[in-house]
Amino acid sequence: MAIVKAGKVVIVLAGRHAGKKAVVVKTFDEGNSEKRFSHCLVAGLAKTPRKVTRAMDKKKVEKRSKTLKPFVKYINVRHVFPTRYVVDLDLKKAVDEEDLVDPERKVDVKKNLKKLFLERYMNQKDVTSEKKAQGSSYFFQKLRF
Amino acid sequence: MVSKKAKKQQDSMNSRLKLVMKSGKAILGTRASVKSLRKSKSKMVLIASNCPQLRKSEVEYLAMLAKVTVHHYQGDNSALGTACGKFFNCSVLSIIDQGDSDILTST
Repeated sequence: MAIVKAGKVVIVLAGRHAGKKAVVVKTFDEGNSEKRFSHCLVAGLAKTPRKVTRAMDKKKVEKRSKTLKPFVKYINVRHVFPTRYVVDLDLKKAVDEEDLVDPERKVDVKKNLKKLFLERYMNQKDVTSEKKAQGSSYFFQKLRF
Repeated sequence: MVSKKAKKQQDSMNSRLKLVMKSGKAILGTRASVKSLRKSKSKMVLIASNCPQLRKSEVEYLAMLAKVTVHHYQGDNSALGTACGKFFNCSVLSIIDQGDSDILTST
């Protein structure tokens, strides 16, 4: 059982998205023909949604939550730090690998991801199991450093 | 002053390490140990006492994720290197295959 598995929350350590959290969609343990190293496909938050408080009204909450901006990336497993948190979103359907090659379709993938993430973010109360709730809430919080 | 009991435990750990070096397989060095942890090849991890705190925490966390025992070696990296029969220091050691030793079962 490898540490970096689908559904795990990881922290990106290198590159443009260093310091951002991401969820592993798929791992390629033995690499593939183009990348001969162990890597994974992650979907993360380039921008986490802005903080909301109880005093804000619904419209303001929605507006502040929409600032969430996702990214998709193939990352070398060495450039990723796994955490103990897991997010149980079914991302394999949203992130289709063939769509990532074409830049136009990649934009669509990111739009779908944004919808998925936003839905999960707004409905965090509906997630039943405590472990899953912890994972989601950890994922949407910005890592402070 | 190191108490007699502590010294005895230390000697037994050293002798187990010696056996592992001879009959089993171990990986010395942080980078390679972390790689073995990531690939779930590691069975046990030893960390020297003077390992920098950040590195120690990192290795401990990864070992926790991989469900691998961490042993905090009572001695600094030069002692750990010597215990492995090497002439260099070793801060983090990962045991892949224990061979004839009982290092995994006893600690």
